[in-house]
Order: sequence, then C-alpha cells, then structure tokens
Amino acid sequence: MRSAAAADAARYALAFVAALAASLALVAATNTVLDPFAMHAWLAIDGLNAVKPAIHTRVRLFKAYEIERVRPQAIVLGSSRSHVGFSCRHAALRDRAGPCYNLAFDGATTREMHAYLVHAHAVRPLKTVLLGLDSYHLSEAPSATRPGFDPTVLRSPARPAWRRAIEGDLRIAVSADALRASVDMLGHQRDGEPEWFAADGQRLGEVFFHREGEAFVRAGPRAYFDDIDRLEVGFQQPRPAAGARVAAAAPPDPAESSLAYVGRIVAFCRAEGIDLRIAITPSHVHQIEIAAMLGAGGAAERGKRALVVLLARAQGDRAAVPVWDFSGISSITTEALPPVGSRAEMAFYWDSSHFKSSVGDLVLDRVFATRAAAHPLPDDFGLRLDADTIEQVLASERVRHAAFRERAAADLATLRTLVDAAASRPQP
Amino acid sequence: MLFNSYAFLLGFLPAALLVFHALRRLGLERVALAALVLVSLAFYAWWNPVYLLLLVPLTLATFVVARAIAHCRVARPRIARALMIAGVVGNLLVLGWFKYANFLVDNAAALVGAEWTLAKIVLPLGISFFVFQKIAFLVDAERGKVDRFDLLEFALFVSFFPQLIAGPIVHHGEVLPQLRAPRRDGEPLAALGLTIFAIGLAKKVLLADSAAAVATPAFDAAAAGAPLDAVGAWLGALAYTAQLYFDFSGYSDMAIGAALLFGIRLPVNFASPYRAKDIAEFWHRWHITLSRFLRDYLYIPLGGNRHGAARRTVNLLVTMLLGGLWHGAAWTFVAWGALHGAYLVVHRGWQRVRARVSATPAGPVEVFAGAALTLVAVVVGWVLFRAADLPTAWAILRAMAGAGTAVLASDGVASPTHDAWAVAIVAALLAIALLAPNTQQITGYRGPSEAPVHAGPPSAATAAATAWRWRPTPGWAGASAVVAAIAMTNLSRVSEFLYFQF
Repeated sequence: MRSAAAADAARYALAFVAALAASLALVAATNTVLDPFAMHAWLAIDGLNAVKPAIHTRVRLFKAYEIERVRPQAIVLGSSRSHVGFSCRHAALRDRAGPCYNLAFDGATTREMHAYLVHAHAVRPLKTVLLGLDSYHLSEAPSATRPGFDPTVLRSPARPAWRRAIEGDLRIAVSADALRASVDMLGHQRDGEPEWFAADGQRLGEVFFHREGEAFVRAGPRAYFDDIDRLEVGFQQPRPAAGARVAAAAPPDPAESSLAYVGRIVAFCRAEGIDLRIAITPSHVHQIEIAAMLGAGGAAERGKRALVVLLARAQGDRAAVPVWDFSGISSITTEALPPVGSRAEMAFYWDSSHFKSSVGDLVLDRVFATRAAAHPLPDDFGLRLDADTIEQVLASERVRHAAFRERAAADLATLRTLVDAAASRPQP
Repeated sequence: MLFNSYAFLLGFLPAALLVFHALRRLGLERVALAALVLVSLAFYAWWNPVYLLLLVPLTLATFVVARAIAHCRVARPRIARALMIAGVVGNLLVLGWFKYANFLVDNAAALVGAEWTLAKIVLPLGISFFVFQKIAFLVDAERGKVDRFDLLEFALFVSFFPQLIAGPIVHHGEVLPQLRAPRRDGEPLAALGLTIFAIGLAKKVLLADSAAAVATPAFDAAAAGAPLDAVGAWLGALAYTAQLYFDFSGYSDMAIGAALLFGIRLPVNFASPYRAKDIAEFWHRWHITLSRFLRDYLYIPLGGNRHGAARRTVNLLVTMLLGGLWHGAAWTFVAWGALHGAYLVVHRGWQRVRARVSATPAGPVEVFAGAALTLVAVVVGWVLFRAADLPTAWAILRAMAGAGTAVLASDGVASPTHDAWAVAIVAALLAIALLAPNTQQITGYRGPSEAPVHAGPPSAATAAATAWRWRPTPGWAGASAVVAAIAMTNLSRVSEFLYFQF
C-alpha cells in the first residue's frame, strides 16, 4: 500500500505537470491566435492584430513564413540595398513564370542568402533568382549570420518537417518574446503607421523614408546622406586589435568564406536548373571613396576578379552565369549631392548605400534586357563581367574613376573632412 | 543535448522517465538500470556519437583495472599500486590529449620559436568530470574502499546522464549503494526533483542569461581593445560573477533534480558561495564536489598540512594551480588557480597572525569586512577566469582599478555597460545571490548523506527559508510549475536585427 507521503507526492507531480502544460498551452494559444510575427497570417482583425510592428525588426523570420504563402518561382536575394531597390512589379520579374518575391533583407550575408535560397526552393521549385551582391560580399572573410537569423524556421532537405514544426513553430509559439510582441502589438493597432512593406517583399523607400519623424525627413536628405556616410566610416574602419586576435586564434576556413557561399549559391542554382543572374549593386560613389580613404581601395577590384574566377570554374560546358557590375563610375552612381542645407531629394539615392527603386528598375532592365524603367538606361550603367574581359573592364573603370576624381575634387575634399572627423572618434 | 533545451525537456527526459519507471514497476530492476545506461549513452551520443568510442572503452578499461586492483590488493599490494598508477595515468593521458595537447604544443612552439601545429582537437563533453570520477574509483579500489564490482552499476555510475556533462563530480561511495538498493520513497523524491529542477532551470534561463546580457558585451569589448572605464569594468565583472554562479549552480540543481526523478540523490554542489566570510569558506561553498575531489585525491596525497607550514603552502598552491588548469587549457585559468592558491595562503597566514593577537571570535564588523574582501577577491579572480586572454584580463583589472580609459558617448551610441537598466539587473542578481535562500534552504535537500552541507550559525536568510520551506502541496506544485513555464518560455529568444535605422 502506498504511504500518505507517496500519495501527496504523486498528486504534487500531477499538479506540477498539469500546471506546466496549461501555462505553456495558454502562451502558445495566445501567440498563435495573435500571431505577432505573421508566421501564420490566418486571422487579421482590425484593432486586434491587423498591424504587426514586430515584423519590421524580424524581417528574416517574417519572410521565412511569407514565402510559404506567396510560393514564388522568382526571388530576389540580397541585402538592404536589394530589399529597398528591387521591385517584383517591374516587368522583368512580373512577367516571368510564377509569382515573384523580394527575399532580400537588411544586412544579409551570403551564408544567409544561401539558406533562404534552399528554403524557398524547398517551398516551391524556383525558376529565376536575382542575386544582388554588395562589394563587401565578395571577400574571403568568414560569412557569419546576423542576430535574427534562425535556421530552425527554414526548410531544407536535410531537416524533416517535424523538426521544423517543433524547433521552429512550436518553440516560437511558446516563447516569451512572442508573448511580449503580442502584448506590444495590441497597443499599436491605432498608430496609423503607413505600410512600407510591399506584398512582394520590397521595402517601399517612398513610404519608409518619408515617414513622419524619420531622420530623412527630420534632418533633410543632404544631412541624412552625410550622417550615413559617417556611419559607413564606422562600418568600414579596420579594427586591428580584435581582428588580429581572432585571426591568431582560428584561421578562417576558406570553405566558409563569403565568396564560398556565393559559390554554393551558384552551384545550387546550377544543380537545380535555376536561371541565376548576379548584379553587383550600385551604391553611390561615396561608398567607394570612403573605402579608398580608409585604405581599402583595392578590395572591390579583388572581389570582382575572384567572382569571375569562381563563375568561370563553375561554368563547365554550360552557359555562363551572367554577372553585371553596377558599382562602378557611371552617370547614376556619381549623382551630385544637393547643397549643404538643401532639403532637395536626390533622384537616384536615399543615401550612399541605398539606391531608389527607379535605379533598381534600370538594373533590372540591364540584367533582364527589358525596357520597362521610366528613365532611359544610360550606356555607362552596368558592365558585364567575365573572365576574358575583367581586366579591360577594370582598367577602363580606373580611367573613369580618375576622371571623376578630377571633376569632383570639391565634393571629395568635403567627404575627406567628414571621413577624417568620423574616423578619429571612438567607434562603438 | 542541454538540460535547457526543448529536445531534452519535452522529449528526452519524459521518455527516459517513462521507460525507467515502467521497467521498475514490472520489477525489472536490473533491466531498468541497463535501460538507464543506454539512455545515458544516447544522451551523450546526441552531441557527437563518435565520442562514445571514448566514453565506453574508457569505462570498461577502468572497471577491469579496478577489479584487478581489488583482486591483488591484499596478496600483491605492489602490483595493485602499479595497476592503480597505470589506470590513473591512462585516464590522465586521455584527458591530457583531448584537453591540453593543443595548449602544450602551441606554447612549446612559441617558446622555441618553432612552427609546430597540431590539428584542433575537439574536447569531448564532460571528459574532465568523468575522468575524475574514474580516478577516484581506481584510487579507492587500491585503498580497499570499494567493496563490490558490478559492471552495470559502474557503467551507470559513470554515464548517468544528469551528472555526465557538468557534474556534480559524484563519488562512487555516494551513488553505487543507491543503485544497489533502490529507494522505496520514489514519489516524494520525484516531487522534490521536479521542484529543484524548476529552480535550476529558472536560475539558468532567467538569472544567468540576464547577467550574461551585461557581462558578455563588456568582456567582448575589452577583448576587442575598446576603451573601458571603471564603472563599465566593474559592472562587467560583477555581472559575470552573478552569471557564473547562477549558470553553474542552476545546472547543478537541474542535474540534482533530474537525478531525483530517477530516485537517485546527487551531492550538493553550491551553498551560497558569495556569502562566504573568508576564502576558505568560499571553497567549501563553491563547486563543492570539485573542492572535495581536489582535497581527497590531490591535496592530501601531496601531504596536505601534515609536513609543516612551508610544505602546506606548496601543496595549497599546487592544488589550486592544477585546479585552475582543470577548468580549461589557457593561461587565464592557470593564473586564476594561482591567484586562489595565493588567496588561501594569505588567509592561512592571517588566521595565524590573528590567533596570536586576539583569542576573541570575530565581531560583526570583522565578519562583514572579511566577507566583503572575499567577494572582491573572488570577483577579481573571475575576471581572469572569463577574459579571452591575459592582456584582456589585465585591461579590465586596470580599468577596475581606475586606470582605464573614459568611455565617451559618440553619435548617440551609449556604452551598453553604462545603461541604468544593466546596473539594476546586476544589483538585483547579486542581492539574490547574497540574501535570498538557496535551493537547499528552500527545499531542505541535503544530498546523498542527507546531512547539512555547510555547517554554521543560522543566518537571517536561513530563518526566512524556514518560513518558505518547500512542502509537497498543490500550491507549491503550481508555483514551481509556473516558474518552470516562465523559464521554458524564455529558453530561446526571437532575436531582432536592427541595422542602423532599418
């Protein structure tokens, strides 16, 4: 016969398990119904959960699930430049077979792009991929992942669906972060914030940058441009102390470099018969100049060379993967800045990193050989790179660059002052 | 597999409990033990199945050697001793290869200016813990303190999953008798186990991880050469002080709680160490099972305090130096061990001086001063323990001493360590560590011997704990479950990514 103590303890264990299960079920039910990260999007009630501010800082998570609803056959991969600049409404993407989705997100690394490519292809086989690469992607540095990247929510042939359901869906459903986001969401239903996330995944620059209180509006386009240049100095500035220590501790694995993941993307598209096109994105010339002023001027050229070598190796006896370089000197990338104090907007840029959708349309026209952009496509915008012509292209690029530096001496002197001042400050 | 993972909490642990208790209910005690061995090996294999090829043969070899030692201990004691030494050396060689080979080769190469390289050796999880358990078993077999050799029991003693990865460092004398004579009070132990596991999970997930959010940026910034001022350095060091305690003691609580669910009492590993009045008491309260091992199998065999003050000093320093190195193959751990050895030597010296000066017991002011000094000394030690390397540790210690660089806010970017919220978190966590009742005081758990872990006069916290003493009531069950639920909802974060204004 069981003792009274044993009976008490058995009741205790039962009560414990029941209370634990009930607590977790309550959290999961709340989060699943309110769905603050739009993972399921099966219920949108005005005043309750129609507005979901939490997705704006969890774009990686949101897009991982959104892609299951859109089920695209054409996608755009890339960083915030591609996220803001490329629209699936452009005829080059709109008219391709199947839906299109802009799967780019802020700060995307090539490792993350590869994971999202595999995920999207697992959701529905892809036919077209536009890969937007920034100059810093073309490096031998290790390709990391950013906060917010969560491989458990991504599909892949190596992970069974049940693991994703438990480690991804269920884990997030019972998380306190999701509960906090749910509660926070309830208080933001009447904010009236304009929607700057397009249905095709693009971040709508015209809406986003023009929001009330946004730095672009508050400071003015020119002052904002200068602020971003200052931040860029911080991002590009070498940090020898930390770098030296990391390098000494663990030599980087070449198979895990940023370029190696570009290679994996190329190999995946080749193996799956996906039409892959690569565009090196058109940042403003200030980005190149800042790099040069900080002593990293040759990195972009080295990266482009490495990319064409990589593509030539992957080509075999098949057609080459087309790669277009929009980052060089052109009538677009050298757009003059408005005068200091002016509140006039630039035609092509939000800041030195992010180009406007109108420029993205020109890129798409060049890459897909269409004529859908509102502006005519300048001849000097977008140069095809391949192993045979790379040195000629780079040489002509250097000539154009020298000419630009002569005619833009005053602007570059101002930029030099700004860079020197920003570089001398302690970086966070 | 970590205790604080959904795979363990929702899958592995319930399944293991179901299998084990079902077999016991059927009266299949030996089969239940065998199942627990297999479950434990599966737990280990989850991380990397290849290392079962280390754990299993090492367990078998140790068992065979220990039995041979016992066999010839009386008739041929020299052979028994030789076998014991061979077994201990064999275990240490395995530990040395996996844990210290890279460290030794790198430092030897640097010393002679050679370019020797050794491929990075991955450290098998828990190797430092199960090697120590085996060494204790071999030594005690030679001392005649092991009275029964049963391979199944020994395999479970070594591989029992709650203690396999991070201790407590269980002594065979505590666990093997429990395996031989399973307790008949399984339900009360399970109720206690659920509560202690919930407390441990909350310590790890809610408290330690909160402290880590303050400590990690500070130490990372220092490692990257970023400027650090006194406030930032102290905040980082104190945050790590809280993090390490709640992390390790939380994990120990989870191990104890999980073991209780299988009817096995593991030894207590922590007893509010930051309340220690002196550094010797600190080591009676911090990682108790390691202190016990080092005392019984290193300090005392070295001669302990039996051969005069000078020899005792050397023994103390050697013991703490090796104890430091046991924590990791890096000069920071060696320095940390040496520092604590020096602390203990100074403490012994102070005790002798004080005994000559005054025979009266310490008053409240002296006790408070001793406790405060001990805490500061421990915090200084943790800087060495946590820092990426000695220059980083030195930079943080210099900053703590006021010789750092002022951190200026630039471009509206504030130093994370100067956040008022961070100060509040660290203060609250240290207050909990210093003033709140600990797990044993709340639950009354005393370990295998069921004797109090750290004798001493009852404190205010102890008195408060009596009022808060756990009982197997529905109220306690609900409260414990809610604590566990809160911890489980915080197991993983749905991270944000903020990219300047985007």
